[in-house]
Amino acid sequence: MNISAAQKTKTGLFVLFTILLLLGLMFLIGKQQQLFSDTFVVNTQFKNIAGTKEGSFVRFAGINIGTVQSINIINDSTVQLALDIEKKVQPFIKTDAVTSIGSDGLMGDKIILVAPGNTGSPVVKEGAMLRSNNPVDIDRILNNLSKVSDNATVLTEGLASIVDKINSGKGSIGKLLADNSLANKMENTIESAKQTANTITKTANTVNENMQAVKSSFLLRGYFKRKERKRIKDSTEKANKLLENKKSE
Amino acid sequence: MMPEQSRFSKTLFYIAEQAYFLKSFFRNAFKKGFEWEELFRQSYIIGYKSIGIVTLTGFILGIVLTLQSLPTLKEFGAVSYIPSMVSVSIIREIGPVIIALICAGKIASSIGAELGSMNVTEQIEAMEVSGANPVQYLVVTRILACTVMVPLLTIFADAMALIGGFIASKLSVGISMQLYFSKGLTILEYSDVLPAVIKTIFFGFTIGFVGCYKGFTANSGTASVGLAANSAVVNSSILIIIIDAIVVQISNSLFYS
Repeated sequence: MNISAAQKTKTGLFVLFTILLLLGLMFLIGKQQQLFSDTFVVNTQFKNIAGTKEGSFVRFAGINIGTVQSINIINDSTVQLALDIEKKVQPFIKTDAVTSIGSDGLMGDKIILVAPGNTGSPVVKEGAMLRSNNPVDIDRILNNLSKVSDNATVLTEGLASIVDKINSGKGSIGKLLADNSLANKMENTIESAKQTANTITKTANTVNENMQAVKSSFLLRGYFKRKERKRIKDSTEKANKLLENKKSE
Repeated sequence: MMPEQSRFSKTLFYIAEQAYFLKSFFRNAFKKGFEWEELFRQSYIIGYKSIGIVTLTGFILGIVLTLQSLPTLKEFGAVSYIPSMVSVSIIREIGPVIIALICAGKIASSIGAELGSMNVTEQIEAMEVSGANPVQYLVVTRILACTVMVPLLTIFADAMALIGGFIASKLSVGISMQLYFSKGLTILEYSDVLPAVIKTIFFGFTIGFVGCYKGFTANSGTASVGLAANSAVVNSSILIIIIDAIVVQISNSLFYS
């Protein structure tokens, strides 16, 4: 019950093929975690790393360039991350690059984002410390928000009581809105003002007529003529003075 | 075999018999005169001859899993998670278990029936009398061939399932091959692949062991051959599920603590 060489070969090929598949998969996974490529390490410190884990991706310009290698608590307010970054991107990361913590996709996996520094700055070295932007502390925002909402409560309560007073016709604004008598009074006032204005117009017309009559009466004619002459003299003097000023300039 | 046994002592006897069988397997596996030729032959029968069924199963699994999850994921606007979801669920769980159950049906039954009929026709006793070592020749080679070939068949089926999943998502939502495989494979980690491969080794061993044990201990009589084949499939399937439950606990405590 021996098997032929061809059957042996076929079995061997199958075994080889599947083992290569497995090795290929292993290599792909390892490559993704940068087990086989040249890397360098830089450090960065945060107050709060917001759930970043060892193995979380490091992203630069939207490209995964490395992973978080280790997380160490330095003191009560500082956590240091060692970032394992591919050697080939080292020239693009400058000493003044800034790290921050972002989240990736719908599931919210945390990632470290590296923002590029100035083009002119020197390239970052192995083991260097990068500056960091601490993540926005959601708890602090919520605390502030609760203060804001307390204030808003006080404000809206005040507003509500004011509106209530106005609606029920209390106070001067309330009266203004609720009371008709004021509007009636104002209407009366406007009416009488109109009448007064009419009377005044009539009076002014009469006065004008009277003035014309006075001008032509012989008793006062001299006075008006003198006044006219003085006006003409004054204006010629003024014109002369202006001319002189022009010349002297 | 023995007169008037209680159910409890029967169970104990059954367990002891299996333990002895396991012991004789390990003892003979490291004995001189290992049957390489027979191992290759069994690998051909167990491994190569199962490629067809495993390919078909894996391929259809990938297609079905994709098409089944598509409507739900569409509802959440998460269609882009299909490659990752298919590859993780196939490689971690569905591939190993389904392929092991398929192999239990195909391999354990044939081993059980073959050894059972050899037992019934007293060929095994004849081998013993003529000085050959039946455990070394029949049992060790089959169990080892299963232990090696079932993991390989599972890996092959996983690959087929990914291809099936790609074809299904290509036809339904239209995704490029490169994007599909880069998404599906970059989500994987060693903690996904290694426990899955290790557990298929146990599955393979279980299939071979139960098949051989049931065949070797078949009673005399023609009906017992069918019984041996039947109970080999049933017992190895149950054991596969139980081992799966145990492995998931261990791997979770090791990798996701």
